[in-house]
Amino acid sequence: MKRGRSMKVRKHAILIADDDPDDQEFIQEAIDAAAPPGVTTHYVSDGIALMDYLKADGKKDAVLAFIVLDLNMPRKDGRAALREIKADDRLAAIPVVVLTTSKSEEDRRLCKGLGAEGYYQKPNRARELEDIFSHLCRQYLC
Amino acid sequence: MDNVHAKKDRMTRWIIGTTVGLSVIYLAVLLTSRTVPNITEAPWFIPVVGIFIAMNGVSVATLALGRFKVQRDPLSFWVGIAYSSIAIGQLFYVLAWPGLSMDGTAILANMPNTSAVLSALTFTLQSAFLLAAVTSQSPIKSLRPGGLGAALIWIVFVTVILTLPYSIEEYLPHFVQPDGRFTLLFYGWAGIQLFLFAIGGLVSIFHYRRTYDSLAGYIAFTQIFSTFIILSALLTVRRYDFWWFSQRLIALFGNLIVLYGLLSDYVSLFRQVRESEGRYQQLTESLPQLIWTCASDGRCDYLSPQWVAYTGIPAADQLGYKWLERLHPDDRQTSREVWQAAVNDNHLYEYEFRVRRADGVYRWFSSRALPIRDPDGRIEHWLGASTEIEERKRYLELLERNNRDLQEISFFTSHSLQEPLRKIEMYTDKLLEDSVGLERRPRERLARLQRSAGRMRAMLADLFHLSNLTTSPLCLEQVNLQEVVREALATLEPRLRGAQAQVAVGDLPECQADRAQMLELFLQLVGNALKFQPPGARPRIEIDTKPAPDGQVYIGVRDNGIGFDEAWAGRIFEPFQRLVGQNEFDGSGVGLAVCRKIVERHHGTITVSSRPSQGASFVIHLPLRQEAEREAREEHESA
Repeated sequence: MKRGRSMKVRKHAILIADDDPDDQEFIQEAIDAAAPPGVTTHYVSDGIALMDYLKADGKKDAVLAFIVLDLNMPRKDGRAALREIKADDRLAAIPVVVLTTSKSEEDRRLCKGLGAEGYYQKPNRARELEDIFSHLCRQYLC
Repeated sequence: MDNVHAKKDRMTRWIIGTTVGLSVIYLAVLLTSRTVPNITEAPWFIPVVGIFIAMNGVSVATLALGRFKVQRDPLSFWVGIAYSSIAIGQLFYVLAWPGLSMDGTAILANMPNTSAVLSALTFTLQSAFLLAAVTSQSPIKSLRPGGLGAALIWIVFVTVILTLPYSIEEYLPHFVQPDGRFTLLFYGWAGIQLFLFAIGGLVSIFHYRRTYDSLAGYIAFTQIFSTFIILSALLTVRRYDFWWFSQRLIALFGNLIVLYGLLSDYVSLFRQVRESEGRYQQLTESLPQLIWTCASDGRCDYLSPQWVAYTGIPAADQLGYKWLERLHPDDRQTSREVWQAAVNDNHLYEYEFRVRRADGVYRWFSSRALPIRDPDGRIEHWLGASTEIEERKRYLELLERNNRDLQEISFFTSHSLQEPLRKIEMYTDKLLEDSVGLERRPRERLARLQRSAGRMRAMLADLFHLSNLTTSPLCLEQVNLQEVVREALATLEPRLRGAQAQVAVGDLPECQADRAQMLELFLQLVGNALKFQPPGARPRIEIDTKPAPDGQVYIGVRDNGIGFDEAWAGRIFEPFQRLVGQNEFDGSGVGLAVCRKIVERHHGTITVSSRPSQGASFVIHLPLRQEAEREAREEHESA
């Protein structure tokens, strides 16, 4: 599923891999509130679609600022995708921020070990999600 | 027991009465008889009486040493030695008697003086050994009763002593003058003998009254009796003649009493053994367990009728190792190995296996066997019992399955319900954002929805935490509880400062535990103490320790908070139990459940006592060491 926001050609884009439409909506709203205008978002809903998107040669109209990655997705989960990204020399430099419902300490350690730049548990409050994205945007969009 | 003692007290009186009576009669006969029969007219008298006394001596010595072999008591040992001396002495005495051979010459000696010395020596040895018996002291320390070897050494020693008079006949002191009259030396020696018998008799009576050992009673009889006989003879007889020898006959009576005593001891022992065997068998056959015994090498030699009835196969076809064939094929090999290991190392045997019932159904049994040792510590046989545990096993499995299900349910509830709840909260936030400009009532309701969702989230988080505590493995290490408490207090510092709390911490010990869980335990307990305070109060918290039973540590946590009614003490550790209203104190009510879970996972106990507005006092007992095996057993059981 792809849902881009049509904007004029801008510098930055955020790639979100999450299969939950509700979460996609929450994230979009949080980015709308937190990111500077002109940031595009692109959504994929599983690990294979994510890898396809990353490896596609087609011209991209924006620089990929960071990837928001859910861990539990169909077909190929976030852990496998993360491992693949970080093992690929061309992709390894892209910051990956894990945003998941998983509470397990093991997942956190695994993702950090694989090289994820950030790890957040999906918050229950809209305000907290906005805080996460404003922090991420400050970090990766400058 | 009192009955037995009263009976034995009667026996003491009987002994003393008979002794005095017989002695008085003997003395009367001695005093009233004018004529002295000539001993040469009855040459058979001395050898016949002597042989009887010797035979009696051998019998008593055999029985007494036999008793010593079983009981290992010094009394039996010295009685055995004393009567061996009499037997040997009498034998020599008979051989020294002039009337023994056809031509009127003795085999060993011909002098009346020699036989008088020998006689005196024999009875002195007897009196001395009997005194040793009741004082239970050996005159020579290194020869104290150790075994039958020591007895043999003593008997050889006595024999050597008793052969001495023959080898030095000419140099012997004169006990008897050539005309048959006693010398002063003889009276002196007889006095010593008299003294030994008399003292021995008194000591024996005291020994008997103390121990109620019937052998001591019979010894007392023979000692007191001998005292009276010798005294009577000394007072009335002046010459080495028939009357002097007559005391030998009377003495035989006294010594026969000891033989009678020992024999009746054996008979009652035999009866006791029969009775206890019968009781043992009744007990064995009335127990619900299947009882069995095995020889020291591990071969089964007895199977109780219950085992036979259960398996439906005659005992004879299952002895040796054939009982193994009744076991479930999967259990046979290991059962045999575990059994063999127990037999080889002589340690307690404990194992669970399935046994085939007569109808072909296998049922679980728990078996235990103990090595039974003889007094020397050698294993005589193995005593085993097998208890059916089929029901227990089934309940245990059911319990484990239920526990697992419950754990899964609580994990599922706490984990999977989070997801929809998160969305409820997120959407409520969004609705609240969208509702700007709406009326007050719907906005208020949305806010309430928000709060309820928040509370549910907290409860789910607690539930998740609780179920995690149950399943996650313990990371055991040596933990200094003092440091852990200090860390907990540092974490709670802002709250402690805010409440102006006073905290007193005693000198807490170390124990083996999961450090993170210990920290959480104290965080919860101190947090609990801070939370349940009346408004405006200054919390006072005391954490200390006290000596605890072996292998345990004691920790007490007391506060001066609102406390609670003791009737609630049982429920306070249940999760989601709240003793106070929802709005008074926030939190979902899982803190103390967490505490109990942590303590129980460490094989400890936590209890609380309190009264309303009197504060609460928590008492925790934790084992010093969490044995790895206990942990392993738990894992084995849950597997």
